Amino acid sequence: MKQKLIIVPAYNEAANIVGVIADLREHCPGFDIVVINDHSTDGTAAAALAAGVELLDLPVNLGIGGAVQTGFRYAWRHGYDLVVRVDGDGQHRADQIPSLIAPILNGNADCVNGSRFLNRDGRADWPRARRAGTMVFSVLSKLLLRKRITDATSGFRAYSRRVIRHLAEHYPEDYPEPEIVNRLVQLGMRLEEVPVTMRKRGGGTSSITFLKSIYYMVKVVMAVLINTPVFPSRKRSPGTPESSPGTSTRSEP
Amino acid sequence: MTRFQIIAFFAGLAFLLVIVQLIRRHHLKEKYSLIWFLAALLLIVFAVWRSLVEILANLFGIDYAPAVLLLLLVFIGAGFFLAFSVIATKLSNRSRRLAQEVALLKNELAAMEGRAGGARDRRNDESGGATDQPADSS
Repeated sequence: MKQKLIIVPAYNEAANIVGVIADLREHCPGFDIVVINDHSTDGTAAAALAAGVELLDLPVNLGIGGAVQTGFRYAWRHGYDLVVRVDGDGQHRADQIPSLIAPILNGNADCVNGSRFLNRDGRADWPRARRAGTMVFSVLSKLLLRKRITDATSGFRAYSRRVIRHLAEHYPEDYPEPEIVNRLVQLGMRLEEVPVTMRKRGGGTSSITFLKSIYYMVKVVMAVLINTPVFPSRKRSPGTPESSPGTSTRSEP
Repeated sequence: MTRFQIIAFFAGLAFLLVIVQLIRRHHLKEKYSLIWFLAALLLIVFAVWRSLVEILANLFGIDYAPAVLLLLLVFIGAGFFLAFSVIATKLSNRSRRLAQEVALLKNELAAMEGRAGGARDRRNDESGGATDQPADSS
């Protein structure tokens, strides 16, 4: 039996966190849950403790990357085999976690990305800037990784123990989701996407403004380009078939 | 010496004294002070040895000698800023790790106080997280 952990990064989500935890408990009974409180000012920590989950209480605000990494360090130290990351604002749906973790449980993937854009109906009403950024990375990933990632900014993901081990030690900062995809693929981890739908935010406001989203887009593209080896074929075994969305590819011999 | 040379000389000397004083009061690490010492010395050297600017200008093939000073300033300044960015990155990585460690330890402590024994049996042995370094990414 695999030990499964759900990590929930939360910054000022007192209004949502209890609902998120209840949702997780209902649909994912076999999982342990840990909430990472990124130095909230609104009682998020107390709400999580009252709900009876494990709490990692950061003494300073690290931002989403640093908060999520704390969860990976916890998972690695406590020997978990599988981590699902779920946002504290309630946009990720617990009832979709079983389909998210299936490829890992089957041993077909190291990282499963919940994509809003794999199916047409998930596309719905997302902010235009966010969609544009996602499209930019989608094209970029096709060019650089030879693998189409339809929703690189999705935070709704499941990771295997191999990836936990890596991310516990190395985790990009700020809004690092696309960088992680890029890095994991380059390391030869098998990435798969499954279609998900997400809820609109409950209470509170999103932490990403328009200007910020432009800044992160530029930053992410830069980070991905810099970290891409000049001769990517060296890391790939010859004859590896090109992958299409939803299929996993073993990139290392 | 011209009047400006005298001013520049004393300014350089004052700069040097400020740096020494900062080190003595532990407001500046010796490690970082070295480069500032060099900067102050450079200022004094240029103040005293006036023709150095012209010598350098000839060397670099610059017609307008004072431009050499500007050039030096830009290069040295850029070097300083880059060095500080590297230091800031290192510090921010360290403080992030410390903050994460504090959060993990707080959780550990709460677990020990609350449910003494039990519930912790899943842990890896202590060395699991601390010393077992995953393979480097790059």
